[in-house]
Amino acid sequence: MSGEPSKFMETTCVIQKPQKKQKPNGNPKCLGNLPDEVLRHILSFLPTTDAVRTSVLSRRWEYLWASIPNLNFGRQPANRNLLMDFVERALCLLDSSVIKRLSLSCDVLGDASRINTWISTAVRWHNVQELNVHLEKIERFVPLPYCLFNCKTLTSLHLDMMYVLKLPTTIYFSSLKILSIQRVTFLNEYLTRKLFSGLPVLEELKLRNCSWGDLKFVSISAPKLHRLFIFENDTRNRDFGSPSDFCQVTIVGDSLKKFCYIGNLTGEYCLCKSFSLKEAYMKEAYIHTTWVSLSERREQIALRMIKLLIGLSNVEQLTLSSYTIE
Amino acid sequence: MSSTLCCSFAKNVTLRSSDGQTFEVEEAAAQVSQTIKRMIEDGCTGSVIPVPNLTGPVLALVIEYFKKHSPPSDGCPTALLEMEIKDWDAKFVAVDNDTLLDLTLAAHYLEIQGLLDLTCHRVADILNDNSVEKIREIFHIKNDFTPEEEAEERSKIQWAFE
Repeated sequence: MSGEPSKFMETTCVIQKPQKKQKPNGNPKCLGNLPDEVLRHILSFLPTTDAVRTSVLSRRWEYLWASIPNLNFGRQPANRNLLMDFVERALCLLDSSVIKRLSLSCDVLGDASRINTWISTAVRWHNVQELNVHLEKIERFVPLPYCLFNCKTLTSLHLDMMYVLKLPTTIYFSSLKILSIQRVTFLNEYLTRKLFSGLPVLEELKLRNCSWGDLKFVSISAPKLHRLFIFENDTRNRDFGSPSDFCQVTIVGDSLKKFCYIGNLTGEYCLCKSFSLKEAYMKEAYIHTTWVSLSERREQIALRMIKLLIGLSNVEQLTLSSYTIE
Repeated sequence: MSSTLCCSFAKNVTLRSSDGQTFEVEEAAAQVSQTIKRMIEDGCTGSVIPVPNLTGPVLALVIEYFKKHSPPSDGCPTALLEMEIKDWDAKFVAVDNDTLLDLTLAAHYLEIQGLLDLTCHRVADILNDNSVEKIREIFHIKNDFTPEEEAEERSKIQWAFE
């Protein structure tokens, strides 16, 4: 709507009449009477697989789904292969300027290379702006396409996979404002640091139940970062590497305004230069640990908490709460 | 510039529906609509703002939405307020299907993005929850395919119906 010249500019005080005149006396409303852009907006709320079903409603709907800016593949139909063929066709056939957002939520099974090709097509060919990738049942390791990590158009990336994150040697997200990483295990210290320093315009970062694996030192440094959320309340993804109990995470957030941490401080977090921080929320979710004695663990958590609190000295609003210790 | 001056003291605006009903509403609340906002900025608040594509009952609903979504006077909304508004929104669009389409069209004409998202999402949910035949019935969509054409359309996307 924003791209077109305002249709109200030349009118004075009268709002334009609707294009299709509605007959009086309670004529039944037809969904097809809504303007195309509204119908496209409606379809953009549906998973693409469901939006496609509307093509059989009537001629008016036949190709409407193909012009929605969001592709959203989530539901797994009984015939997975047909769906995969369809995704491929959609990515190949749709106008390169159409897709703004691609959401993929699927079981990978043996199709990792195929799914990777979709992601690179979306990045290289469609200049995708928002990408949501949620992968389950990964059978064998195939790194995400490297072009993803240097995508110039991407403004929002959500990555959720219970697997290791293999990173390329060059990482630079020049437009990325929102980054959310979930259930990932970080693998390489040098590259992980590169990832968290290649985010020049990042405003929001969410790390949810990620594992630092056996990394020792990580630095998150994003000059425009406003909001940082770290959730570590579910530690079930410890299959890839030892518990990340020794990782020191330094957060350099010159613009950080909001910080939220929920977890049991399995890593050591430290905030630097966070002078603009206004709001901080911390909730400890202590869990029973078998590999160190409880008192030692308590002491360690207390020390880590103090370290973290030192970085919060300028904060205006601080909320602290905790679960009980088993 | 002079037009801005003339309406700077006007706190309320009057909106008139297609069937001649008038409604007085706070200027700040009415500006939830980008269309009305532009008109106010262009100095059209001297008398009554006609909204010829909305009937009285629909305009009354839209004004309810305006009031709930007008920016709070004391700055940004709190999390609690946001949650309350979300609940209110959910109840607001739990209307019959014809009214839902009226509201969708109203949100489109008056450029109320929040309301447009809300109503479109609700329509999408209905599309999602019902069979093709049922959708045609609910939203009065005339099937203009021949039986052969429809069968062909369906065969192209058979997986979507499995």
